[in-house]
Amino acid sequence: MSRSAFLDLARPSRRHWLGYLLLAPAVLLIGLIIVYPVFVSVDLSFQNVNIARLDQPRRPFTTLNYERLFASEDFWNACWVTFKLVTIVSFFCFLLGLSTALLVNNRFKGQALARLLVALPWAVPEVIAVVIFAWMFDSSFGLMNWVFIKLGLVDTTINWFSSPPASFAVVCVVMVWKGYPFVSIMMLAGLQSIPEDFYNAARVDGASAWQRLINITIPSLMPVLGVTLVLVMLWVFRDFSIIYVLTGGGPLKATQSLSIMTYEQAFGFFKMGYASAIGVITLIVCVIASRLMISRAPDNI
Amino acid sequence: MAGIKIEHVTKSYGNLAVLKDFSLDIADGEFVVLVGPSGCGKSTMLKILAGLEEASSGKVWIGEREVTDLAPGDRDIAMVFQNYALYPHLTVAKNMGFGLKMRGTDKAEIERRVGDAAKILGIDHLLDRRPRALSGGQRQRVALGRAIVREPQAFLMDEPLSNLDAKLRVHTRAEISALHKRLGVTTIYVTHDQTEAMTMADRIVIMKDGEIQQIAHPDTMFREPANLFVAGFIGSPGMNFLQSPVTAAAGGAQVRLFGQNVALPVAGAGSLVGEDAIVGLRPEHISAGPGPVSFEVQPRLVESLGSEQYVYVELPVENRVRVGQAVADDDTRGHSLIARLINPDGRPPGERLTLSFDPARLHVFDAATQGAIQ
Repeated sequence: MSRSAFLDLARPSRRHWLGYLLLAPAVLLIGLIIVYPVFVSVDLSFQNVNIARLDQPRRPFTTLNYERLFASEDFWNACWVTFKLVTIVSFFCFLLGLSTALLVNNRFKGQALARLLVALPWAVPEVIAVVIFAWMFDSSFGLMNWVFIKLGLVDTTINWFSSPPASFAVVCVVMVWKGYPFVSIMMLAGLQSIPEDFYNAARVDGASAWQRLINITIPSLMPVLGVTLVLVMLWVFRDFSIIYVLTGGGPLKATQSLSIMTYEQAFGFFKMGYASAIGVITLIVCVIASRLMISRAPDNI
Repeated sequence: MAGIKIEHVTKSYGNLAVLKDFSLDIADGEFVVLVGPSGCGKSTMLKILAGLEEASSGKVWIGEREVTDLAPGDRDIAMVFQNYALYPHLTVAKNMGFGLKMRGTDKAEIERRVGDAAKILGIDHLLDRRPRALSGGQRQRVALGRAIVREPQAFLMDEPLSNLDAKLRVHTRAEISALHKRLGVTTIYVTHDQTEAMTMADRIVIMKDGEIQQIAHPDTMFREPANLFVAGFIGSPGMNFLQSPVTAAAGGAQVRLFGQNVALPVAGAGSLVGEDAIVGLRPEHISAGPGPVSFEVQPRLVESLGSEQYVYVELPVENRVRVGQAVADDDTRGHSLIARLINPDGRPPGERLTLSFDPARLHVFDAATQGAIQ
């Protein structure tokens, strides 16, 4: 049986061809849906374009979009909102995620069910979750107002979506609810990779439960922690649907993050050049932030 | 430093009893090895001693204190784990000082004690490294060091050598023995390797299925095994077992081995007349050439190690051990006999061979109870 010498990829000298061949579809796809749009958007951000069309002639090069952007109060507001969101949501996602992971990492009856419940919000489609939350926070017949009044925390109904601080809080709550299961799942995986003997050794050495958490659990989780933090931050940074469905960026731009602003400029006001400039800035900030995070991860991975 | 007393400790998981009535008195400064096949309960006993597992019943004393229900950290013991359990995010010095830091010892004192321990173990040049930058042997020393700096009442060691390669294992074995002599701290050492037990122990506790089979000095254990299991476990290669009915003879009892009547060397053998006995014979007690009891055989296999030769011989069918797996895990061991010939002359393989043994060297066991007959 003779095989075509050219097609015989099992030969040692041709083995790397097979690798490239298998990689090709993925590389092509990434190039088409990520790399190419990035270049187009960088290009657009330097032109004064309203509705972008690929068959249109190029407009002259201009930095006007960026000049306007940095002078715009809306942009700095959106940056501030995004920064607040990223900080608050990441913090609470980690707090909740780590505590639930520690909780369900214990052995108890119904552990499998508990793990499922912890992971559940992650499995709910974002838009559906947001619609449910929008109902719960409805000002006239929502569950939350009822609960708050019953508990005696407030005496009149709160208008969740017309007060800027309240709507920002609602956005944070929904994002944390949607985001913490991911942290929890990652932490649980991390926790299970810590050898039992680390804890045994620490117990023999007389470390209390708190000392074991601080000296063993947290440091051992560091590698996972760093990567998860980056992923969560990027998720909050770019998340669009939760804010859009819940508040649309309002009231008074109190929840207008960079991604909402980008959308609004591009598809609300059809200033695609300007929107591209916001997108490019967001991209740069994200890249720098994640680089800082990853390189700060301890070297004991 | 202190002695340890274990009184009637049992451990069961539901219906599964992994430890049945374990009692042991360990003198101050003694080196005791718990040995047995996997699943015999030796590690469970160590964990109960350390306080990492709860005993189902029984009491444990360390020194003058009853520690049965004391947290591991309050028992003043140090443990060396099989995989060393070194924290990867801490340097060697911090790993070694971890226990002291948890107890709030002051910094200068920690540094001094870590330095001293590192010098004893010859790892003072590694103190700033992380565990992953160390070789297996170095990690093992760090784990020992972490135990030493605590200056505890007792060391508990859970198969600390099993992750080392053969050569390093022999070396470290000797080092641990030397360390024990130097520090004189009571040590309980768990292993499944009979060589480690024989070479290191002041006393061996041999276990099987959660029960103590024998507690004795290594030499006693080798010379006077209490039962068939101990006889087969201690010694390498293991003792040969031959089965035969016992008949009365002038001045005692005799068995039939290799078609010859052999008088049993023990006084109690008379009680076995009419029943089956299992006769044990150590491979090194068989010699080449004629002797008190000689027999001619065709070797099945000859393994040469240079200084010695292992000769494998098929047993006659009537001498094969029929008590099942009591003797060893592999059932073929009951079918053959190994002779260990020291300084053999270069005889060609495949040739018929005369072997002999001295009947005084025979160990006699009751085939029914598997206990030794004295």
